[in-house]
Amino acid sequence: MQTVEDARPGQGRSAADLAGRLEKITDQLQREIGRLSAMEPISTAEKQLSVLHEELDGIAHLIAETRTEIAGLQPSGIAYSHLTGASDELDAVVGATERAAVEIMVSAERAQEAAQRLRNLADLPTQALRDLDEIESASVDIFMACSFQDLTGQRIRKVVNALAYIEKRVTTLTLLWQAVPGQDVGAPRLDHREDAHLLNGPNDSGLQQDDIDMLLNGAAASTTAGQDDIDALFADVAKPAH
Amino acid sequence: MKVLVVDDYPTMRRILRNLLVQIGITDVEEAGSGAEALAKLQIANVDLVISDWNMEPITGLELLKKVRGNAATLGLPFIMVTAESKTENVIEAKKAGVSNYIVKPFTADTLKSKIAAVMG
Repeated sequence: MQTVEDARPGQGRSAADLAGRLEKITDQLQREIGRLSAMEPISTAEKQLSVLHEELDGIAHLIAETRTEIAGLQPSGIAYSHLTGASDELDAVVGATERAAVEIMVSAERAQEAAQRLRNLADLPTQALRDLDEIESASVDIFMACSFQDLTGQRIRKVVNALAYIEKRVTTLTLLWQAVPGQDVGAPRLDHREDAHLLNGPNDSGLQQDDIDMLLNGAAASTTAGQDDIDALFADVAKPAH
Repeated sequence: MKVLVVDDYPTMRRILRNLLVQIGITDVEEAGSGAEALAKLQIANVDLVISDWNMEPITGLELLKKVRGNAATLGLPFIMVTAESKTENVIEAKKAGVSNYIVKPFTADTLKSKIAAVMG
């Protein structure tokens, strides 16, 4: 292949020779430019490969770091201090609401009994009878309102079951990670999240209002039916066959 | 009329008993489980069963199927009172032969009207 050096003009060459050599030099330069241009995509690919390599390194580092963190967790610590503790505290909520509901119902029953005793008295004025009706009606409403304890209890029990399921899976996962040979298991990690204290659950001073609201306001699933929907389903049921 | 109230929550049994008394039904038996309910159905002359759905180990639905599967209680009026208001559950209960279905929370008027509809 002729190079630029070869095409250098010498002494005693004719103008035609010089023109021909210049043309060859021009052709040579164009070929070199073309070759360099052809190399550009390879250079870009190499850059992309380099970026990809760095990203993969980052992901590998993150995986290793996460693995170390998981391995540093103490299964028994997680199970007791967070999940089991939360389950116990939710059970305590069920117990507390049940006790409260019973106390409310006992009071309502006392009101009903007192109303009944008054009703048995002779010659009660009309207004007194109306008031007794009102007391008995209010007592029934109080009883019905106490059914919240049953509903919240059922929902909390579902949460407790879900926590037990998660606890089992997390324990299995952490034990698997810790079983990796050569894995350096560090000290248990402290929970520095801002809301870490919430995992301590309720204490003797009771739940926060937001927690109670969240428990009481569980949204019904869209697949649930209201009493009217159910009545429609039973519209063709007059009375069961005996 | 004797009514058997079946619910594993004492609170709910107490509520139902009180409501039944308020609407004039004073002869109320209670059972805290499906097994206890089946035992009481053997000896007590029950006219109506009002049962919760969510119970263990025998659910209200299983209790219903056992009641319907026994010739002696085949036609016994059976009302399900439960928070389980999923449409498929209601349909399943209906297929199993439930007489009526009340969603918690309910009012005394709802309970009264359902009992009236079932008992005629």
